[in-house]
Amino acid sequence: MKSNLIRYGDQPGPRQPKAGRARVAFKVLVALLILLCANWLLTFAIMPVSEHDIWKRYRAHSDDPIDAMVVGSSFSIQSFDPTGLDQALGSHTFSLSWLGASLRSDRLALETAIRDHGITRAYIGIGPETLTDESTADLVKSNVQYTYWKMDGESFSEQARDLLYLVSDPTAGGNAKSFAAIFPWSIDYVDRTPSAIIDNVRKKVGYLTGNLEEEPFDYASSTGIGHIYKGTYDVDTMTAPYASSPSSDTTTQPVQDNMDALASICDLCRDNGVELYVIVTPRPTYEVYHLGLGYAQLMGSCKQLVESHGATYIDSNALHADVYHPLATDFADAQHLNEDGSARFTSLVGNLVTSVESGEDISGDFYSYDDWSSYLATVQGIVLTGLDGTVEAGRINLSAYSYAESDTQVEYEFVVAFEGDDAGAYVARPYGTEADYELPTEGHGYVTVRVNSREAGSSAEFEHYCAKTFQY
Amino acid sequence: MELISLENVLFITVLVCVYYLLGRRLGRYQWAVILVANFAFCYLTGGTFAMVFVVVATLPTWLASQAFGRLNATYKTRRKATKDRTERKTLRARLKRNKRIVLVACLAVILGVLGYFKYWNTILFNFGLAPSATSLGIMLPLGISFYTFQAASYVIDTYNDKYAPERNLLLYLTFVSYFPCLIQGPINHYDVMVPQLRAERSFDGYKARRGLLRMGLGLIKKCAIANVLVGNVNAIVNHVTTGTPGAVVVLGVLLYSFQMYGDFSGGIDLVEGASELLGVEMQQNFRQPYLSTSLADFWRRWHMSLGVCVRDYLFYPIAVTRPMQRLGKWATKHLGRHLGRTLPACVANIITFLFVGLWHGAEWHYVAWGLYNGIVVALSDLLSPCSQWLNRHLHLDETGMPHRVIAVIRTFILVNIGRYFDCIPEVGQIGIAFHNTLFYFMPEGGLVRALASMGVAGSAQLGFSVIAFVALAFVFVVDLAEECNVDVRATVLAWRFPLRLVLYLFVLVLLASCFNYTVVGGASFMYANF
Repeated sequence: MKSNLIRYGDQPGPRQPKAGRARVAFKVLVALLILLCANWLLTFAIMPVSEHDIWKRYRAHSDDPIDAMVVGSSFSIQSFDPTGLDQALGSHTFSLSWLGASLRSDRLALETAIRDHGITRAYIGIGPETLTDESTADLVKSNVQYTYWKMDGESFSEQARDLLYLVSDPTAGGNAKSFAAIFPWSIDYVDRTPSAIIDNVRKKVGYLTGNLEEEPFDYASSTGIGHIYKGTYDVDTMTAPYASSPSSDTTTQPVQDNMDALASICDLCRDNGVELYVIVTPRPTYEVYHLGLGYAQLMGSCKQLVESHGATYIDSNALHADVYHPLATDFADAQHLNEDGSARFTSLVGNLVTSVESGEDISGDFYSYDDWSSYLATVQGIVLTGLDGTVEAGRINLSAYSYAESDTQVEYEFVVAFEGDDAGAYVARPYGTEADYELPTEGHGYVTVRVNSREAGSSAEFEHYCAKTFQY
Repeated sequence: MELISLENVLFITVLVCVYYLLGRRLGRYQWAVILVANFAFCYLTGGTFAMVFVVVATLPTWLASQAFGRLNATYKTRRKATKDRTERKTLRARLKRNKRIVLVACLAVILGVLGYFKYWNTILFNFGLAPSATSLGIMLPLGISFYTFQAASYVIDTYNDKYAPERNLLLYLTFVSYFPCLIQGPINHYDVMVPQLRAERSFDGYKARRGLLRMGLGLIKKCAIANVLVGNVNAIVNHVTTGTPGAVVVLGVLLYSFQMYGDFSGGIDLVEGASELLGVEMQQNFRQPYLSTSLADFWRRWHMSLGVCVRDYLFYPIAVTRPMQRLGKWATKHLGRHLGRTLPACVANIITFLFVGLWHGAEWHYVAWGLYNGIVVALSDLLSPCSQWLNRHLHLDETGMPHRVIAVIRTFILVNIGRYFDCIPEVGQIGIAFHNTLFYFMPEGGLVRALASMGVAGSAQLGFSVIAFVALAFVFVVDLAEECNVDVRATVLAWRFPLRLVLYLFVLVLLASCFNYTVVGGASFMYANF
């Protein structure tokens, strides 16, 4: 049998007649068409259908006199109730915020709302992570998702404009993520299993033909789009006093791209006569406290940027307790409010906006970032306990730490459970003020360590705890 | 701008169009288009900072080569003018001395700059004069090692009168700053590159398609292997403790091995492919290294352009020094002819590998890595009569396929033992890793649990690398075919159009599936840090 393999040094066979230009052009065209079709099919089949709803519902309200817009990520969704705002301010508010929103997708939403409705007021909920998040992967994915959802159902010219906006995304600029603008399914996809893909295609076809069955909304585990979180929450595990560790990143360095994006949103609103409120949404005290003075530095630079670009800045965490202080039961998790918390907070925002727009000076309601230690001094008792450990031959060096009021003396108890050990969990070291403990180990395996903490002299079993598993 | 980006696709497309359309009008100055592109690329990838250092490497070496030319010309004129042998000898000695002064001064400048950026902070740290190895915040200019070596090889070659110095500074600058090799090599030689740069070219569709195929292979290696594996590799090799089982370490080292091959050779395929679009073939940097039959063979196939550099400018000069010659004579007299011949080469090998280790970074684990490689290569040279004797007495056919397969597997194991020193950054952790590989291999509770506890993504089903394994199989088939002397690209281009289209679609889907894993940042290629 003749081999089809060409080896190095082989004599070239008789030269093929040169293909005509038309034939080459035809081949290139066919290849391009096939590639385009393959890309469209993959986008259709693999890119998930979820949250298409957000833009569909927005277009359904195209005749409504929308004059205010809420944008932002889960911070916004779980903090602002558009209906509550409307009741307080007499406005017509719509929310284009969604869980994974990036600042760039927020800008796209505001641009669209300004163009379509000429809105005069906008709210964006932020947290420290909005400024410090370097997760480019998530930001690019967020932009791609949001823009493609928006493009679905748009005219060709609008689609072209949105695609251009996406390609010019500086977050993805200059790296491989930039290809996601052309191949959105490469970054936003359903499980790559036949059943998941078939299910997704079924939903897409239903969506296209208008036969998509409304799935009952799972309020307990999801957020309503453009509305507040309406679920019930496991307060015991998620809120103080038993929080084991802070959920947010400890970095307090703003990422320049994020600051630029926020400035660009402020500029957009200022240039179009939109009153923009940049609002730092509430979070449990320990989440603010563990960032220490870094919180004031980070949010202080944000305040300066927002105000210098003509927007109004409100940090709900810096409000004096007599103006607003969230309850432990106001939170859905360590960063977000629940329904009750959102209702209380929306009402507060309504009042603050009314005060600002009536020319009232509300700066006295806030702790100053320049004197943040006075805020930190208001914290009482232990706020939070954590545990670090390094594994060495024959031992694990454990080190507990707590964030607490400056004159609070903390004592720790170390409880250990070696996996496979019949003894189960036992107190390896009773309560004592020494934060370090050297746990001896034999052989190899896993051990779970739980450090309990309480104020020295307290008779409580524990006030806070943190548990970790180590492989030794 | 990174190599793998929409912007770079646009950059190369525009460059190819301008090079062939506008460049043809420039005639023998067609290379000027490449010079402009070099600086545009340099600016877009590393900013003004990177551009300055390309020029810093270029100017002293070009001036030194001009000085050599002048000194040679003066010498020839004066030599002609005299018939006195003693004076001729004096002239010769003076020429050598003057050229050496120029060479040393030039190398001191460019290697000094390189040394400052690469080693100064680490040296201070090791002597307790800096709080950490990065505390001074010295940023390594993009690709500085590669173009510095390129320029150094040129100046040494002109010192040795291997070729005449380049008189055109801009053409020389085009060679040193050639954008495809700016990020991670290969280290090209002047006499290979400049004639190609100087040539007038018109578009060759066949060569361009070969170049595109090579870029596609590079993308698969980088995106579908290296980028998919990097997170899991880091999760393992950066967190080795006494509790890390040997099986996890071995898996981490193997994944690192594949990641590194995908990253480095993938990047090289990309830039070599881009260069082929311009009709310029750079020096080969990889030749199926994981199919090597010995560690020495491996180093002739891995990072070949650096290998050639250290061989020509370090190994040979060391091996022929007087102390080495004396060592050879002494060994011949007292230990026999084989040792007399190999012992100087062994010492030179150990020194050379030590240097290569230090080139990777002034860190102890790189020193250990260099020593390991040098010693193993030296030992295999020294013990080669033993292995030949063993083969003879066991009637093993050294040219047969079974012997070759065993040799490839043995070499793969040796290379990966060396990877312990390379990928685990702390010397203490390297010791723990070796200890656990030998004495605590299988973890309590299984491999999956152990991986999960180290934060290895998707370890629950051990399915974290399906894309990478598909890509590895693909690359293995290509490498195997190339090893059998098959011109894979010519073979693919000879396929019928529908069959090629199927291949292209497969590659497209494979690649696009990986963009989500792509490492973002200036150091997205491992060797861009060197």
